[in-house]
Amino acid sequence: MSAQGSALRLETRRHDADLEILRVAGDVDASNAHELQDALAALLLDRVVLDLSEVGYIDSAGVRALDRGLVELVRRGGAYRAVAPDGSPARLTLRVSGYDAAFVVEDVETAVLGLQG
Amino acid sequence: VAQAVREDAILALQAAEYDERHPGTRERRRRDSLETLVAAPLHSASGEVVGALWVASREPHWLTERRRSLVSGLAEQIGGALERARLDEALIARERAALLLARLTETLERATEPARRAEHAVGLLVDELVGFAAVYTRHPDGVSVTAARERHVRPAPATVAGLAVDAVASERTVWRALGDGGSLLALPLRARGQTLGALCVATGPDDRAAPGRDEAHLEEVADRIAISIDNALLYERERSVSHRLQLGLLGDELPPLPDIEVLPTYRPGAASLEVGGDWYDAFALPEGKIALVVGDVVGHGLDAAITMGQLRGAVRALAPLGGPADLLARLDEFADTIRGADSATLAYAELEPARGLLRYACAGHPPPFVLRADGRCEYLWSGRSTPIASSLLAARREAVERLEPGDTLGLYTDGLVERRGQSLELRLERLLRTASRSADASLAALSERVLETMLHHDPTDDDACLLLVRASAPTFAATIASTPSELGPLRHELRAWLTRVAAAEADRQEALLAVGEAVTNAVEHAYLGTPGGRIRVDARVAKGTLEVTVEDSGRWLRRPSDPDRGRGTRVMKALTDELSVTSGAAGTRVVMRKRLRAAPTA
Repeated sequence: MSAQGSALRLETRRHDADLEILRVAGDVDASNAHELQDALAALLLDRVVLDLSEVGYIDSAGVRALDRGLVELVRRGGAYRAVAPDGSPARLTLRVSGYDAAFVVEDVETAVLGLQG
Repeated sequence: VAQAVREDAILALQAAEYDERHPGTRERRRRDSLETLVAAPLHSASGEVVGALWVASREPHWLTERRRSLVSGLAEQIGGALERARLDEALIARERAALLLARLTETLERATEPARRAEHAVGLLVDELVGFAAVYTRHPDGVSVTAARERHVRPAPATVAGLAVDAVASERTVWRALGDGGSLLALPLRARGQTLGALCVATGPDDRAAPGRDEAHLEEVADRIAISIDNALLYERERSVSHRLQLGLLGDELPPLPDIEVLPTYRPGAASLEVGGDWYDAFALPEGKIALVVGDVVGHGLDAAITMGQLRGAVRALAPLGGPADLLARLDEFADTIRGADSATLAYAELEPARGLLRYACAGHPPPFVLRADGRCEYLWSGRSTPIASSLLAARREAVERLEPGDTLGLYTDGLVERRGQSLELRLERLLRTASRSADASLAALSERVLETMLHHDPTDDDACLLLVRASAPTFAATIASTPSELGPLRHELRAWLTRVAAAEADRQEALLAVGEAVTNAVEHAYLGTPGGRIRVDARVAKGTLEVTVEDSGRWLRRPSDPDRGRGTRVMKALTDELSVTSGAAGTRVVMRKRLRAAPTA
């Protein structure tokens, strides 16, 4: 009911030849989750960092979009990390939704290292 | 004038000619002393005669050539102005009509039930357009009024109903004049090739809408209303089907289960009239285990209800084959065959009340909470993995937790805790706080408090489901007559109960034998010579320990103060971990305690 949420912003940038970083900021819920899903599905490279550290709110619909958006990447054998610092809203929602902590990391550097290592 | 229009020419009459041709208006001419009377046709831009200009002068032979061209020019200007005015009027009427249709659409959508939509429609029509409006709905045996509103026109109901029947039967707009100069129209309400009823409107002499002129507009209005009511009827039908389905799925009551109290509560979303995707179930598994499920499928309505039904069936069928993690893995495979089952989440738990054990797993589902008998409250954060058929699927995991008698387990859906614009962390904390303040409340009171705090203060469009489960110590109680023939039936009952509470067959056999010896002792010694004596057997399991009490109110001939003395007592002692015998004037009481082995399958 509250309208004070902040708008969803999605920004994809290329980190190097085969690694993309999708930065998600703002609120993700059922009203705009499809945007996140589309942005994920549009990623071309096989290594993806999903930076959720600036997400103010994300609910189960958002996590579902994340799951579905990564279907293709997973199918083609790609690798991904999600950045959601401890105590951040995204970290809690991922935890509540049962997403393995293995691919959730503290910061972008760790994520990039994890994918390159 | 008529002649001027007919002949499309400027006509001039002198007084004498006029009086001869129009004797009826001669007196008026004389009174005004008019000598020359001129009629000039008025033309539209396309040259069509749209009216006439009437000029009269007190001067005889007034219409000179110069004046004739003046009149002609004037007529031309007036004709143009008239046409513009008429076009403007038509434009305004069209705009007004379009505006009314837009407002009608908006008004109709404010309600979801067909009858409410009809009410909204007639209300708007009477406010904006006509003096009376009514919607009649068709039935197998005629029509009946669904909604009616009047302002200043009050046609007789029988007249209106009669015209509505005509419109429905002929599938055409019909009308009749009303006594006071107004008129009554009935327009069929048609949608998807069917006539649902009729829209009746009545106008007074001064109303904006008039039959003939506004019929096309009113027919558009009727079509709009018909489609809207038809949609509402369709929606209602689907809703009642999915509600029935959901009721069938969730039932209002779960079958009674031994040794636990289960209270499910389902709350539909505040604004949503559709069935949501939340479901729950509780059922008995072999070996005294009880399966508890709360799930959430994506979507709403009939599709969600069907998916729920299939998932529920799948869970019931697959649960006995293995533990919680196993079940989730099997559901992942099975999900391909259920439309809409991917991304479904669920929390599944198996409770063994006799051992106070809870084995659970969550697939993308918020963590269950446990409210201890002493008020401590915590989330069960283990046993977590992704939703069913997730693309990011890792191994399915499960976890074990103690759930002692008096402890309460809470399974719920995200509608209870998720709220846009609020921190999930704070809401999870709030849920725990609320629960921990209600440790000694009944399940009904606990459920009420949790829902009140979590939903009432923050209504949501999402539906929410809460399944509360409180374990009680499994108990057995029987009273038999003190006679050997009662031993068989007692053993039979006790064995059935032990099957539920003791996982290992060895434990069941040993317990049965020990209790049998105690009861036989009582039968043989307690009531010798006094008929009508009774023996009471109570058993319960708590923290994995079986406790059996055998009581009689007789006086033993041989005092059993030394339990080692009798053969039966020796057997009892061998088969149990603790044995106490107290004997007094009121009777004898034997208490045996036995630690139960773990389930061989665990």
